[in-house]
Amino acid sequence: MSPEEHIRKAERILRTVDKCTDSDAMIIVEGGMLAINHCVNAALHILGLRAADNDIIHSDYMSVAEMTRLRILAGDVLDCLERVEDMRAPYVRGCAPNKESAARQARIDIRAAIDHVGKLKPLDLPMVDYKP
Amino acid sequence: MEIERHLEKIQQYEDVISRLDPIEDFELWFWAQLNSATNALNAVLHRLKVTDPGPCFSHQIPGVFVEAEPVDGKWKKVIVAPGDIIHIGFPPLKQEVPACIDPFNHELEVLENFRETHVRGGEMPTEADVETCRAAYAKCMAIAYKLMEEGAPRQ
Repeated sequence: MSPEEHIRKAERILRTVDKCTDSDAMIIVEGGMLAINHCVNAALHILGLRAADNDIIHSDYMSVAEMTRLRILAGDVLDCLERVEDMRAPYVRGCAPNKESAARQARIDIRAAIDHVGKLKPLDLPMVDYKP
Repeated sequence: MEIERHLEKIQQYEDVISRLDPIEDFELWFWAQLNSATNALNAVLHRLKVTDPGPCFSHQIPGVFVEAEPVDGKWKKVIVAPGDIIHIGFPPLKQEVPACIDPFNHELEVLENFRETHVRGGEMPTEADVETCRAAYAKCMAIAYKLMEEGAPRQ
């Protein structure tokens, strides 16, 4: 998907999140993971770190090299994704208390990720991975 | 997680599903069904004694769990036997899964087919897509509740 399509999808998910209350924390955190994942893919494509037909599904499945490059170039977007991904085990798959605070943080992170990715510019530097 | 907690989560997801618009909010309307069905699957697996509820919460990396109590605000990751699974076959189970789960898994796969195209990908939902998801979810839950009530049928 193109960066523009990813950002549109993130904004669409945010509109749904805005219809939910903080007591719907599970789906807000999941919406955060999905929306910010679209932002991370947009960042990877804008920066030329990954082709538009090579999306990631979670930060955990990027290579260490990709992660390092992305953290240098778009660390704010990656931080948003990692924060929300860390909420999934306790608040979505588990039953930790204070889920409303997780929902509030996820809302903040979705907006921040969309804002950050909108400011990125192409890097225009070729990247290659060392394959022995 | 204990069966009662899974059932509570199903109720919470179904409440959200009822308030969202299946077309305008498709991504999270669909995702709520997917997560609700996965909770039902875990409840069934616990009920049939295929898996134990376990003290830890599942992480998105298959096989990784987090401890239920944070330490200094951090959720400690551990590798333990499941516990709850996150998708069919993730993580794989040592225990044999009874064949009575197969119809549930078939319907869950129908739902899961929309994940890459319509949620992670850019396809927009149609009324037909909504009906396919709605029907698959309803079948999943009917199968799950029957298995939870009756247990595994005798072979």
